[in-house]
Amino acid sequence: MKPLFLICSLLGWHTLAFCQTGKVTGSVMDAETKTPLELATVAIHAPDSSVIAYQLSDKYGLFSIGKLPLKKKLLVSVSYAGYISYNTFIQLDSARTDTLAVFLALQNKDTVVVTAAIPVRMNGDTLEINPAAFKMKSDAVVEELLNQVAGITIWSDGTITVNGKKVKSLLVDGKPFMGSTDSRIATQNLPKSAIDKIQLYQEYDRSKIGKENARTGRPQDSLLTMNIKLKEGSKKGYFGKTGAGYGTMDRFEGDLSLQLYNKKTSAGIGAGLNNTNKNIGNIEEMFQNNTYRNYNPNLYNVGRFGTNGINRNHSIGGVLVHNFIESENSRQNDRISINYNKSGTNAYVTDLNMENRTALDNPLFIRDDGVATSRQNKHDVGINYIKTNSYNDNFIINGTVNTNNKRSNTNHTVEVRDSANRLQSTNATTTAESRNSDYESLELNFTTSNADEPVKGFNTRMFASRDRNASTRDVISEFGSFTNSSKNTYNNRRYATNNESLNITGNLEYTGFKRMLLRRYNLFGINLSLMQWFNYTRSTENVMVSDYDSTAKRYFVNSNLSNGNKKEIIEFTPILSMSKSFDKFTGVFYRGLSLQVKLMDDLKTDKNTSSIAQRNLNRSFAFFRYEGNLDYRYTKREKYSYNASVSYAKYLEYPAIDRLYALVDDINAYDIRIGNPHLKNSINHSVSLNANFNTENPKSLYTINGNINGSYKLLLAPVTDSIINDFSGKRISWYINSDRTSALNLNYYFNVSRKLNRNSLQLMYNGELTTGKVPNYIDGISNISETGRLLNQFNLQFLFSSRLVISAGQTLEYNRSRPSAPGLNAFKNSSYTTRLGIVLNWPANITFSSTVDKITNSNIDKPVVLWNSFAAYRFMKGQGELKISAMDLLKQYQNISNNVTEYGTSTRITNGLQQYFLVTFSYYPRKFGKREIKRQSTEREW
Amino acid sequence: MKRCTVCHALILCLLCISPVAQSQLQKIYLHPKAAGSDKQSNFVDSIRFIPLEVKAGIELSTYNYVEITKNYFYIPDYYRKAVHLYSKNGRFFKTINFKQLGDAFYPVYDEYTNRIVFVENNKNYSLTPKDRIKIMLDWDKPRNKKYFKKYAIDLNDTTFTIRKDVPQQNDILHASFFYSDIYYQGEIITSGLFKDSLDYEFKTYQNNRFIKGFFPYNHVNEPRFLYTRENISVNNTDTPAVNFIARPYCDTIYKTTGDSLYAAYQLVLPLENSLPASFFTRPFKNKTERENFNRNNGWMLHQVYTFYETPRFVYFLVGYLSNYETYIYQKQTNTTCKVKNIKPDSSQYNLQILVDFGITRKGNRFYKLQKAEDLLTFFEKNKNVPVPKELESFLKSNPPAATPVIIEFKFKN
Repeated sequence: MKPLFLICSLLGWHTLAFCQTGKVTGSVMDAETKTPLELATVAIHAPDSSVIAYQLSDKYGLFSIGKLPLKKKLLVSVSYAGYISYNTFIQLDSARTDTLAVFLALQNKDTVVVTAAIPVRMNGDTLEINPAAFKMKSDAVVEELLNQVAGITIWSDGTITVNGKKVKSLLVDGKPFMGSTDSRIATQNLPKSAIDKIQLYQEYDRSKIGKENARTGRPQDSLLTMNIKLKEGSKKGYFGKTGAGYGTMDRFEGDLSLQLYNKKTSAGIGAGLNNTNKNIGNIEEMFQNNTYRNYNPNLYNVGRFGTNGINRNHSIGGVLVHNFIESENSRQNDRISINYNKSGTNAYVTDLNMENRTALDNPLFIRDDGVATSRQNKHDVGINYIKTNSYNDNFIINGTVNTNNKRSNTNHTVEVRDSANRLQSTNATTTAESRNSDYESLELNFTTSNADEPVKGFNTRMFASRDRNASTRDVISEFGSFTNSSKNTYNNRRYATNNESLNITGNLEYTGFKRMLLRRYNLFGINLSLMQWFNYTRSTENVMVSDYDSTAKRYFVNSNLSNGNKKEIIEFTPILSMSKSFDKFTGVFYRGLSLQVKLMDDLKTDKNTSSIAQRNLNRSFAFFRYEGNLDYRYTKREKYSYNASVSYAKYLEYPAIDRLYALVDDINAYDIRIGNPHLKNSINHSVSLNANFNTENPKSLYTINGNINGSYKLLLAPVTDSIINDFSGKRISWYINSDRTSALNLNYYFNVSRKLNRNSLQLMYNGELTTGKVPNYIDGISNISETGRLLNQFNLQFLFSSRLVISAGQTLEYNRSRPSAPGLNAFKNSSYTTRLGIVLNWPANITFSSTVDKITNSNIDKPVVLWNSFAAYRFMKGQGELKISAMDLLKQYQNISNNVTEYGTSTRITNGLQQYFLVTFSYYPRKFGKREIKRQSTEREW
Repeated sequence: MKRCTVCHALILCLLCISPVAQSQLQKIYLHPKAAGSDKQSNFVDSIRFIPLEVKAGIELSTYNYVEITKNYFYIPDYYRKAVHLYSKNGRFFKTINFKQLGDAFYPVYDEYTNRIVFVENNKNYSLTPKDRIKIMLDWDKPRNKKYFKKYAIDLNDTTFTIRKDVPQQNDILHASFFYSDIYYQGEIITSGLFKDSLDYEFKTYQNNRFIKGFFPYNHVNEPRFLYTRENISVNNTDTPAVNFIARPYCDTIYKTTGDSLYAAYQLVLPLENSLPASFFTRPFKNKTERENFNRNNGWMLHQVYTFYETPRFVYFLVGYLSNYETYIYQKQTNTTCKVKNIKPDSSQYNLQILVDFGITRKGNRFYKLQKAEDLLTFFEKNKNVPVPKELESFLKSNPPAATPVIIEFKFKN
């Protein structure tokens, strides 16, 4: 924690150092009548024409702008529609207040030409930001512009908030840019010079179609939307990145992304190849990772040191989005998106897994050394079509086709020792596997509501999927016991598996049910809705198991393990939903309470056909259940907003056939599972809580938001284990029903941002707490295993203009497993990671950045430090970039992770990247409209 | 021959009348982007304060206004569901709670009957726009009355009790008092449910009997009224039976005298604020297309609402497709000021009297509510300014900051 305090102190000192600022106050009046002019725009510009601060005069024409830089020539510009603008230079030499009395003269009473560029104004219910009012570098992107606008915060995770409210949807000309839901593709690529205006408004949430506000009868507008309107001349263009790098240890990486758009169509291609564990992912991720300028760069989008093994990744893909209509807002959509991606990984992983396992009077220590090589190739095709005619309807089709083939070879050597470190057993396993799979899915959503004819309102979703999986696995396993040699085994076995499954699921919600049933009668304002949910799943599995006879040198079918199974599940649930809302709005606050109760009847049929006689089992269930939800929200206008919801659900779980009649394969030397045909159904009670808070004060320099999300689950008669641990480390588990289990999960975050003129300080904190109690039997002793995990992450970030970004973070992770029975052992482990990061964009066109991660783990002797540094130079008018990366400068990184279960804790150490140096050259082709956007010398307009 | 002479005389008369009528159409030039500013004291005078008796719990909020009845002032407080009743000299009478009526009810003063009337839908029924049209078409069926609820407070009865009333034809058809015993209906709807395609934007009734209709339109599919519901705005003048009326999507303001009507003013707007010709001829395909048009053309003229004329000024509220602004037109200089740009000075106690919302008019007098704190602050800072007589004792009593004070004022003659 010490480094964190040091950083905090340094940041505090830095902030204080910048507190020596000046202030300008004054008044704006009509020169002729001497009447004060309200809402005149007073803007202070720096010598490079950039806006330092601006304010609108109050109802007495007064303004007061503080925290201005000293000893710097500043331009004060006062403008008001219909008046001649007033401009004057000032220079503040000490921390005192300068006063200006501004008298504006009318341009002409009859015809007034408005030339003033107002930074922000309301147009009806829409807040409009005018990019022309902000003087910035010619190649500045939207993200940099947004950071200059009062009230807008760009958080270090890319989230955008406006006066504390989160922007939930970002559109370009009313459509998702490049068909993507990620705002960064637009905000980090589109130059400010291509933007006509940025609009902010509340938009109707299509997920709430048919659930109109009870009081107003209108759809609920709950999505804060940012729409970037492009200039007419910039409605077509292209941008992208192509880069290649090579370094020591034969490390290399290459990236390509190119995106083109016009009024109706956009298309993009992306590709990547590296052996630096850098995640390339799908086409959308490739676009995200190759944007032109990132105001707050993600220094972790580099060679991934946290990834297991050395991976050679490749990916290539393309996307095409076509709008059949030219609508500039999101009421009407008629759009198709098609994407294709081919990706793959060649991996080499060595790992060491150390496990502490609790056993009666004899805790076991298991060391597993493994080496794995694998080669995987995937093809993904996706198609999405969306058609909407208004906010009251929604039609979406999603289709996907995936194929995947994987070849892998693994070798594992396991040693089990007792508490006195005596070797109890060993197991050497060699596996060679070949797997081919394909998956197809089709989803169809259609929702409609009609204010004139509510009886015609409904909401339907259909989903169908099919997957096929064929694999061959050769396993050689040699188990040797040092306590009882009669238990020694040797197996050389082949598994040929063919799986197929088909799933069709759907739900139909009839929102016009109340109108149909009661006509115009309002039933005390209670909304009624009838839903039908159904599901059909058919899965077949054929496993041919053969044992190799070394004498005959051929495989013989193992009839005990070979099996064929077919399972059909038919489920149908009619649901009656009743809901009612209460709300109150005054000029000062809004508060609303909504209640929902659902009554449902689960009808299930489970048919099993198998080559194993016992598994031919047909079952039917009928289970009446209910769910409830309570939601409260409160908004104090221009102050803060919070909401809290609690929901309860109850459902039945019946034991799967694999738990009733498990197939026991003795090749799994240490983990043998035995079924229990007497298992009963279990009942799950679940309570969830969600609470959010955020400030909405446009005048405040602070933006605060927080969230807590929790769930408590109580299972009655759950399926747990009765375990017998052999001295040799073998574990035989029987499924049993215990009395009850419980689990609590809480995750939460709290973020604060403080604006300091053009600088900002952000503190982001998030955490997770998980606890659970699972009753079981261990070596015949009744026990309750308590597990707990606590994770806390802090990140403090200081942004000094766009020149310097300093971040400091701390991650604390703590795991424990504690059995209640005497004679069983408790275990715990922990890890602490301290992170420091710095980005310096100075001098012009040069960026230095560095990250240091110090990782302390309770299972390793001394901390590990990962230090990466980068230097980048932009040239060719901002379109070329040369970057040098120095990774793991201290050459001591190890991949370590901790885990906890009810039977103990484990620590895993794998191979991974080690020190390397890399030189990368990137080129950014960019053109928006007719004029190519190139870096020019800083504009000086005055 | 005699017949021919009469015809010629008639044609001559008409020719003479036509230019006279034409010359009555005055033009108001308005450039919304460049509407001017001025001192408030150039427009307003005869300011009189009516301090209201201090009563715990009565505080002025953003959206309060005062309504003027025959014998009382009342302040509707929608959020607290109450009506605060005062005498004309500011003495508090009673707070009448109407919370029990339900969320949707709102008090409206009916000058004709001197009652505060609450008419709303019966919350036991949920009506769609189509239902409302069907009910309007069959308004005379007794069973349709169950969809509405009406309550009234008779201001001639000093118990001020809320009494249940029976919804009448006027309530169901949204007809309002016009003059004398004449009612008008100015609701404009298009729907395929109407069998007769002819309707009028503005209709007058006497004793539930249709008298006259103005501005015919297609009740089924008039392009400019498709997928919307519009209303004629009617503004009375200082003279009984003389009113100004303004139509949706029309830049002309009409004057009515009794049952005759003529064009009085025309609002002249720049091209960017004027509706294109296609708006009147090409029908919107659906409601969404109409909403898109409104959002994309937020500063195009929708309708003139408030309209009041004095010898020197015209005070009017313009609704654009997505925005609203109040203006004052100065007849002498042919200039238009935006009310937001009009600033008070110390001669009017720095009180912003002309505002966009919260002004009520009765005859030639305007009424606005002001918080006591604004007056206290002004006189605290300007000790040399004499306190008006009617405020002396009120301010000395150091009233709570949010206590309402009525300001009565007139436009300068």
